Amino acid sequence: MKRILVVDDEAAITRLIKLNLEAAGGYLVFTENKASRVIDAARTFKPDLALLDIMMPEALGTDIAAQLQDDPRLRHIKIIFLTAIARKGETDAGHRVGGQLILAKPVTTDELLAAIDTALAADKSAS
Amino acid sequence: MKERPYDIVIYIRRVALLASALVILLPASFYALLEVKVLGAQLETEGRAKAILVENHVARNDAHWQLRGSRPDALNDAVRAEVLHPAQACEMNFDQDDLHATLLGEVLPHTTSRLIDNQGAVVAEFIGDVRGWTIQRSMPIRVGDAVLGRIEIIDDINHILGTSLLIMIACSLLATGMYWILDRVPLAALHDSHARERAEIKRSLDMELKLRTAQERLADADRLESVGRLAAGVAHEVKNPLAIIRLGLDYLTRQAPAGDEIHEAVLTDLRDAVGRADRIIKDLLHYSRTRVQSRAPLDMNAILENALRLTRHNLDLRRIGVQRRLQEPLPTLNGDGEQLLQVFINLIDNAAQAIDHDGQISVSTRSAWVATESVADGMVAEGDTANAIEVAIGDTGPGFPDGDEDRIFDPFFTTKAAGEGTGLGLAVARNIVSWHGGTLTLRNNPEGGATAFVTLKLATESPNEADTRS
Repeated sequence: MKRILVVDDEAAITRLIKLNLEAAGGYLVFTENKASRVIDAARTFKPDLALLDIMMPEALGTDIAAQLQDDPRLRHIKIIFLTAIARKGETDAGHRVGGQLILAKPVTTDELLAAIDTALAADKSAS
Repeated sequence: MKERPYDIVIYIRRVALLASALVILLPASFYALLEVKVLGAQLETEGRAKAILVENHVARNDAHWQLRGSRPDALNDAVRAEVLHPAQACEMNFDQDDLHATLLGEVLPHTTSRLIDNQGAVVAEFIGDVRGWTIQRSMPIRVGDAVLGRIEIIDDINHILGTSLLIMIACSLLATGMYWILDRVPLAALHDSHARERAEIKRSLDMELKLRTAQERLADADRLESVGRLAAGVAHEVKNPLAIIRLGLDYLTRQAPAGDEIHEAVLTDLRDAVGRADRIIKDLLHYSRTRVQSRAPLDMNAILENALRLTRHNLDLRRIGVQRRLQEPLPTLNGDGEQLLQVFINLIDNAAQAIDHDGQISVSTRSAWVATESVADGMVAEGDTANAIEVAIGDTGPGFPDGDEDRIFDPFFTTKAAGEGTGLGLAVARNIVSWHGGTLTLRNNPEGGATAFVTLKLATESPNEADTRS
């Protein structure tokens, strides 16, 4: 069971991602809508992967990713960014932020599952 | 405006030409010259009456003759004037002893005027005549049938001719002299200098045009900046709700009862609607981000092939064939490959949507020559060294309505059915081409359908390159 931390200031988005991923099977999802609580949530939930929205009122998803990278206990967490600003074409072309995958909203569940598989497979091959 | 040497020379030439014309026209003006001459003449009478012409003033439209002489015995007191020439009038006054007649009016050769007494007898007759080099005017004075005398005015025109000849010679000398001088004026050099001045004026006008174009581009850039900020804001605010709807649809799809077609159809419609909304946002973002991001030597044929590959699925679905006429080899040009790829994708999609189903898209590339000063006008001509590449994408669709040539590039202007396009594809394409310093035009083909022409200059700096670098 893969543990996924979903971070977005829109509660509806985090709830639906959780519902869809868990319905797909094989994922345990924890959702967080407050950027300030993400690091604590990561330490507690110990996710394999974090889905981070980039544009949030309190902090940027990229800043949170940097904090995760800075923490030796959280550095292993794979990251996928979600953004409403990037165009579909840019994300399809394999654009990355800080070496991490980026998905353009509105994302489909299939796209999410494929990106999560890709990120975690990279983790597996790296280890 | 300051007169230039070339203009002065041309002016003098005209004067010389006029002088030559005067030489030719002078003989024709003899009559006029003669008529303004003041003449004097003696009246010779036969016996009883004596008269002398004391005043003779003849102008072009007026003659004033005054006769003064001894009053003939048989002359009736009452004399009236009969004027045969309509422009003439006559006044007669008789003193006790003197005949005093005044004839007013134009006295021309070959006209006759008479003084007639109250019994109908011609008292005096005036005849104007020209014979050879002399002008003869005669006025017989009559009483009844008897001619009392005759006023003869014979004017030798030789002295007038002499004056005229002098004028003619002077004019000829003037004309000849002018031509002699003008023959030695380095007209070619003057013309070159004149041409240079004209070229400078043209250059300054072109500069003004370029400045105006640059200002328009800046205005466009400002507008795009505003649109860009708006689009980014809209994208963020709209894409989140769209994400919720799409993820919600995914969830509902999983929960939907299997085999429920109505349920499935509604979900598909919703999914398509989200897709459309997403495409509009995407194109709007693209429209506002059409500055050249990077520059590298590009093979237009390769980019075009890539665009055809990426649109192939769409073309196959619509049963649209592709005809290629790609020039090989084609010179490379500097540009942003991703952006130009987007241009060709948009143009191919646009052509495919115009055809709808079953048709042909023609794609061609060629070296072209673009007039340097007129890139903005998209003047493309054969010949000379190629300085541009022209890409043409044609379709066999119905073409676009007359008068829509410019509007067709306006954002959100579309002639297609709802859902077929966002109305931004051509606007995005034109912006990208424009930022590359090129032109994009769309023209209806004479044989039907329409063709989009993209003209991009080789190895030149685009108008916004400095702006992009900063």
